Amino acid sequence: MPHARRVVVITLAIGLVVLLTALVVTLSHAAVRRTGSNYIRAVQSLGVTSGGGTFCQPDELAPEDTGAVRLSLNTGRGHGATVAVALHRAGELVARGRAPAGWQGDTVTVPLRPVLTHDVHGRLCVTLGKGAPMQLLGQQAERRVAARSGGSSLRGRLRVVYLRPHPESWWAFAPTVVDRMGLGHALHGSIVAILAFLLVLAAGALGTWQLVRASA
Amino acid sequence: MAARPGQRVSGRATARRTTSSRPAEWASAARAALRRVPRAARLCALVAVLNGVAWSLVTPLFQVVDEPSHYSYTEYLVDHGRPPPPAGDEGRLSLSESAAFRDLRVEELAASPGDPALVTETEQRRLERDLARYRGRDGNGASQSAEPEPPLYYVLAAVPFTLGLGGDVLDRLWLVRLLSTLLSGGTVLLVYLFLREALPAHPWAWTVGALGVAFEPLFACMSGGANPDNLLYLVAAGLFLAFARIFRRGLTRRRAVGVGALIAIGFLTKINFVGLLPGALLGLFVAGVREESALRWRALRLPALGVGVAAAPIALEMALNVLAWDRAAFGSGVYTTGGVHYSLSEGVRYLWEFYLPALPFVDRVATGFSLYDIWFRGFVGEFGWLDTVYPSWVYRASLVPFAIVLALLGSALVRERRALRERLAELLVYGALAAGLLALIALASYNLFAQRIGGAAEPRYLLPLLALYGAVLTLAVRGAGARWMPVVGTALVVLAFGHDVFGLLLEVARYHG
Repeated sequence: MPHARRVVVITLAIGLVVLLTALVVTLSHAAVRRTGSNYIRAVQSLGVTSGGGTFCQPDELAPEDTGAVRLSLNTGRGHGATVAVALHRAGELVARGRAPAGWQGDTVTVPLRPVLTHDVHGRLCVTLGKGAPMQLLGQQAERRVAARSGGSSLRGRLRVVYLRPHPESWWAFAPTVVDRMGLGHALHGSIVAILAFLLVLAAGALGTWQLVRASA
Repeated sequence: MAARPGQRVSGRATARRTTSSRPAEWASAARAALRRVPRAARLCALVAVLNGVAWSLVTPLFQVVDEPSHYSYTEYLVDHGRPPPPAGDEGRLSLSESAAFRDLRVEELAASPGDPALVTETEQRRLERDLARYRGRDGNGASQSAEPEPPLYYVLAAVPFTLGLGGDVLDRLWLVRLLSTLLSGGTVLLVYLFLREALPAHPWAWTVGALGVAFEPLFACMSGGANPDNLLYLVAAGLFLAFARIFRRGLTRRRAVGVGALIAIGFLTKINFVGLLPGALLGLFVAGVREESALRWRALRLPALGVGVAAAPIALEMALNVLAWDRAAFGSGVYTTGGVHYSLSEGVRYLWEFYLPALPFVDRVATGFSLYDIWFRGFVGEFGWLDTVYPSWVYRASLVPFAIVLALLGSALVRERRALRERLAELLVYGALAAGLLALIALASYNLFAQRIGGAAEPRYLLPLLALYGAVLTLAVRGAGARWMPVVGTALVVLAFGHDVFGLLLEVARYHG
C-alpha cells in the first residue's frame, strides 16, 4: 500500500473510532424523554395564586407511555406548594399523581400513575396546595378551550409537557423515535428512520471510500 | 455508399436520421458529457444527494425555513401556469396546505423548540383524515415571503409536484424536497470541478474540499428542504467554475454564452442573485480585456455577448411580470424600496454592524448582530426555522478547528504568494462575487430594517459562496505541507462527517425525541 494511502487509512480509522465513541457516549446519556406536549408556550402569565385551588384544562392529548407531566408554574425565589394532577377521559379518572411541596423554578414535574397504555384525549385537572405565590404560565386562548377554575375561565391555557416515567438512554428510547419518525411524512412507518440511517451510512461510506481511493 | 462505423454521413439521410433519433443522440451526448466528469466528482455529488435525502426524511415537512411559502408558490404555479400575483397582506394557503399546516403544528413547532413533531397515532389519523377531506388547491400562492421571487425554481419544482398530484400535500412536498437534493448534488459536483480548475495541484485535496461542502450541515439541511436557495447555490457554484475556466483557458464565445446563461438562470431563480451580478460583469470585463491584452472596444465583444445572452430571458421575464402577470417587473413585497426612507449614514453603519463589531465611538444602529452569534453559529448549525441549535459549548469548541483551518489557509497563501500575485485578476473577480453577495444581503436586511419589519441575517444566504468554502478547505489541506496533507485532509472529512451526523441527531432529538 502506498505511504499516502496508508496514512489516510490510519487517520480515517482513528477518526472513525473517535466519532463512534462520541456517538456511543452521547446516545448512552439517560434522561426523562418527552411523550408529547400541548404546544402551548409559556409566554404569558395566566394568573398568580397562593391560596390553592383547582383548575381544569380541556382538550388535552396525553400520549401513550406518559408517566409524568411537566407544568409551567413559576415560584420565583420561593418554594412551591404541593401540586396534584388528575387526568380524566369522559368524566372518568384515568391517571393521577402528586408532587410534594418544596420544588423551585419555573416548572414542576408531577409523576402520573398508572402509566398510560394508550393515548388519552381528555381533561387535565391541577390542584395547587396553599403556599408561596405561584404564577401560572401559558398562552392566551379562546374561552371554550381555556383552563377553568370553578365557574370562571382563566386567560388561556397552561403549558403542559408529557413525559415518560423514567430516565432512558437514546438506545432504549430508539424504538419510539423510529415510530415517531414515520408520522407526518410522505412515507409511513419505520421505513423513514431506517432509510435515513442507511442513507447517512452510505454517504459516509462512499465519502471515505473515495477519500482512500483518491489518495493512491 | 454505405458509411463505415464512426464515419460521418451527410446530406438528406442525415436530416432524416437527425429527426428520428434526436432524443437518442441527446441521451448519448448526455452520457458522453457525464463520462467526461471525473468519477470522484460524481461520487462526491452522490454523497451530497444521499445526505440531502437523509435530511429530507429527518426534518419534518414544512420545518425547513420558509417551506410553506415555497410550497404555496409551486402549487399556484402548477394550477394557474403562472407565478402568483402580489396579494399584500392577503396571502392565503390552500385548504389542503392549511390542513397539513394545522395538523403538523407547523407554527407551534417553529415557535417552540421544546416541543416535538407528531408523536401519536391519534395525531397521524387526524392528519390523514383531514388531508383526505381537504384536497383543495385554492391558495393564492402569496402567503408569507416567496411571492416576489422569480419563478425558475418553482417551474422545476412543478415537475415533482405534478408527479405527486395523485397523492397528498405530504407526498408533493417531499417530492419537491427530492428535487432540492438533486440540485445539491449538482452544486457539489460543480464545486469539485471548480476546485480542480482553480487549484489544480494536489488532486486529492479536491475530494476533501468537495466532501467538506457535501457534509456541511446547514447546506445539507437546506438541500433537504423545498427552497429556491438550492438552485441559487448550484448557479453560484457554476459561476465560480465558469470564471475559473475562463481565467485558465481564456474567454471564448462558448464560455461567454455560458456565463450569460448562468446570469440569466440566477436572475430567474432568486432575487439574491443580484449580489453576484457585479462580480460576474466584472469577471466578463476583465476576461475580455485579458483576451485582447489591451483595453479596446474589441475587448468588449465577448462580454457583450454574455450580457446579451443574460439580458434576453431576464427582459422577457420582466415583461411577462408587468404585462401578463400583474407583478412588479423585479421584486416587490419585502423587496420594495418605494416609500421607504433611507439614511446614508445609518445605512453605512448598518452595513458595517451587519458583519463586523460595532465601532466604539459610533452609536449602534441595530442590536442583535454579532459575527459570532449570527454568522459563525449559523454556519456551524442552526437548523429548521433557525430554532434547532447545538448546545453552546459545541459552537465554542468549533472555534478550534475553524482557527486551525484558517491558520493552515494562511500558511498555504503565504507559501503560494507568487502564484497568488500572478492570478490577482482572477482573485479580484472571486472577491467581487463574494463582496457583492455580502453587500446585497446586508442591503436587503437594511431595507427590511428601514421598513421596520425585521432583518435578513441568515447564514444560508452566504451558501452561494460554497465554492470558496471548498477552496478554503482545499487550501488548508495544502497548507499542511506534503507530509501532513493526508492526515489533515482525512481529519477534515471525518470532522465534517461527524458534524453532519450530530446535526442529524440534533434534528432527531428536537423533533422526534
